[in-house]
Amino acid sequence: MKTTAVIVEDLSIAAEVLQKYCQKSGKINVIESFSSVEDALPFLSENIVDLLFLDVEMPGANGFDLLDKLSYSPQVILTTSKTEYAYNAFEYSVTDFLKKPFTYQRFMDSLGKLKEDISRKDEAEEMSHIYIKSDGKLIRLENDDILYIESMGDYVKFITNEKKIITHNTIKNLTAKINPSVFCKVHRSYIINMNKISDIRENMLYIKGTQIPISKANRTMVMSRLKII
Amino acid sequence: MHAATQRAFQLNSAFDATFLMEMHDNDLAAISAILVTASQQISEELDRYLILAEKGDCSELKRRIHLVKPLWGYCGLPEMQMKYQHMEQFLGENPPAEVIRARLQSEHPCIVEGLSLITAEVVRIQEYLKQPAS
Repeated sequence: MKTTAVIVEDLSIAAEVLQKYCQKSGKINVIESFSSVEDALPFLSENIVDLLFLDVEMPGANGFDLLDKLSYSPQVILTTSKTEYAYNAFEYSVTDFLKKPFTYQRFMDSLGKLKEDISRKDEAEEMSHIYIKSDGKLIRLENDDILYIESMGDYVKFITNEKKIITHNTIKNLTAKINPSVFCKVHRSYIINMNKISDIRENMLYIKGTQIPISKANRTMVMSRLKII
Repeated sequence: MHAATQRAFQLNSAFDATFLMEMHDNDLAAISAILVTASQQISEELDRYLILAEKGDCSELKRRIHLVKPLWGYCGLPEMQMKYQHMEQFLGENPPAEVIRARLQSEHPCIVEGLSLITAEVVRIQEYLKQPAS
């Protein structure tokens, strides 16, 4: 599975070139591109991505402001034309620092630094099951048995073919822990098993007859995961 | 246009041809498109610089120069990017309005020359691309 990435870059040419490099690499799936922090933040708050290509100086808030506001820590490759940010880059533990414009080779060198995290992601993708706490015990659920997960405030409901299990957890927390190659958050209240979708109509998807909404913020991510022929 | 044919085209030596060709996989049409977009943006910004210099708005001028600076690099003209870098550093010292105006006036012909270079190269590329493949 490819590494999912978002580009936050106000210079359209720079974003286009970066997009082209990602495509050429065959390793990165750019799911969205934004020209400002203000535009990117709602999407990134709703969707967990592996990698951020982030410009620093943009109109409005800057790239570091975005990192301050994110509730999780994706890998970050800074793209800037100012070397003065190198110290901040170090402070924010960014993976690499690309000075614009950069060559494809330099870009690939940068991707090489993501290797460790991609390996970790591969491990997550190998998980075929999860354990959830319910009624004082740990219950093993095979990924393939889970149809979808629905939020119930501070609780979530796991829907399988045979049963419904309620446990104390949140969609946000689960999004970071479940196997990303199987599951996908489609709405702030729903995570679904991508292999269980029967059909999609506009902003709704259906699993075993149950209608599940796809939020505007998640739609691109969901559609990018489908094998549309 | 076939890549083999495109290799026969020689970019003006002022441009970093190796960088441009590598960035766009030898695709002259893509290079031409980038040159057009970048020169339009640089040109629009250039008009704003003089207005900001008149107002003595040093920080906004510095910010705008910073934003446009990499475009020169994407056009394969790193010396111009360096020139903008120097202007940005100069503005970081917060010079008085008349000094900013004088500096911009002295830099203006060189920037215009850079833009002309890009425009001429776009014309050359487009004429070349119109030729039938041999």
